[in-house]
Amino acid sequence: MKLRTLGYYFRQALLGLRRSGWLTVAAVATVSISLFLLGLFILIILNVNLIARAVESEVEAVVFLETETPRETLGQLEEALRRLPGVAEVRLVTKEEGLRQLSEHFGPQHDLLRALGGKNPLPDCFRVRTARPADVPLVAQAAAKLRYVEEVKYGQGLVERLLQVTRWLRVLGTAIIVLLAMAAVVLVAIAIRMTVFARRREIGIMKYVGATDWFIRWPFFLEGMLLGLIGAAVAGFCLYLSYAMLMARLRLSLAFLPLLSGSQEVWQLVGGLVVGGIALGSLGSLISVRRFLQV
Amino acid sequence: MIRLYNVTKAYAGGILALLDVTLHISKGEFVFLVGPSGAGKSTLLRLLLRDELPTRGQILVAGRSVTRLKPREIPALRRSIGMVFQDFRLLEDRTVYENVAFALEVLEYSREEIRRRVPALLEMVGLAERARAFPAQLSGGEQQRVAIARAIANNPPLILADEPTGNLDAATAWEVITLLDKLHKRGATVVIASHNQEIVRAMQRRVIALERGRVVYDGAKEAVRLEA
Repeated sequence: MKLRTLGYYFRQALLGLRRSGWLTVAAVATVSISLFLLGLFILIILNVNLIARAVESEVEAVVFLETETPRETLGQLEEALRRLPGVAEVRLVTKEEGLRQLSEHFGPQHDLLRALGGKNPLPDCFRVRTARPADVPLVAQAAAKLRYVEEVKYGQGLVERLLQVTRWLRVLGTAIIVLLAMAAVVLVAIAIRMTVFARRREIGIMKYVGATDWFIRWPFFLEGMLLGLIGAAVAGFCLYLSYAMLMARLRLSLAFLPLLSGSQEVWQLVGGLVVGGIALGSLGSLISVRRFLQV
Repeated sequence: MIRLYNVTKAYAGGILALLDVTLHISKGEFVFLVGPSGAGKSTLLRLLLRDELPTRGQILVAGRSVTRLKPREIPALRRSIGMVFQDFRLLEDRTVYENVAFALEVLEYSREEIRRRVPALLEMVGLAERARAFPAQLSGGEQQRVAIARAIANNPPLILADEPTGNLDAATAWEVITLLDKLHKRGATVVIASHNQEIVRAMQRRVIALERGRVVYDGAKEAVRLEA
């Protein structure tokens, strides 16, 4: 293909976009909305999965001790916990260590820590990990019966609930996105059809003087692809911006949540949206070219 | 140049446009295709262009079997044919120059080649002065000459014209016929579908008459019969 010919295709495609006017805007908007929602759902699902994995890896029982537990008994208690069936690992977290972890997480200047006024309200605790996550409830029950044990907590069930949320999101998201994608394809097809109609005289002459089919078709394909590309660019831009803003807020208020914040992943997603947009646009023009451009 | 063997074209609803037509047109001939409207003249030209396929029969154009052409081979056939229509089919939003250049752009000629060829073509059809005019600013005869310049832009050996003078008055009709005659003298094979009896008679060229889809008269065959 000659470079000059490529230039011709682009000029014709851009002319087509301009000529279709509001239809171009509508097609771009529909492509944008469907891709934006697609990106949004993917981000939500990725994040929830991330949280679920973090929670899952933390499926351990935390055995909180009474505040006035004598220090000397800590060794005995640790030994007792270790002997419980199914237990793989027991780790002592003293209240000093707990406070240090907390200040690492929030930063030493955080309001929460300053509000404590230098006092440490945390109890000593043991983190008990089992060989199999399913054993956690039994271990927790047994641990609760030991002396000096105030309370045993574990996150069992949370993981399942989170994964269930993502399953629902996936079904709901797919349904909405499929519908929107179909609307986008139809609108692109209508926009291309308008251009075919506007150029029907030219197309007739092109056929009679012996233009190849692809020479006639390319500008229309290009127009569809451009519709998709512009739509994807708009969607990607909005998604990137709104996600960055959302993250900036969440990081302040929900600092403990492990969230997808690396811009690399978000850029990959935007790249995927662009590919998706071009695919939608191509599909739309393919339908119109096949139906209305009999060459 | 053109050979039809027992060509029949039937449309949906049983309308017979052409019935068992066999004819030969040699390279370098100038032929009038005459007959009342609906006789099948336009259908015949459309078959030669591979706009449509015959229901039965074989068609050869410039050595190509038109009926056996693959879709991607159609453009090559059409590049060897210059087609002229009754209604000119010019692009109204482009100048005379651009209308002629369009045919070459579409065939991917280089910019330099287009710049060289278009003025020469306009010179040949006598419209060099009107290059910047738009079709609406031209007379019917001038518009048809632009259309002819476009049709011959890439030097096709065969020129087909479907009622090229149908929309023109007598004087301008002769402009167009004279131009086609000039192209014939330069080596092109020319086939004109026309029911302008005056022109057909005055030109004294081979005439093929169609009526209800059949060849009812062929000048070439009559000549042979008279000689025998």
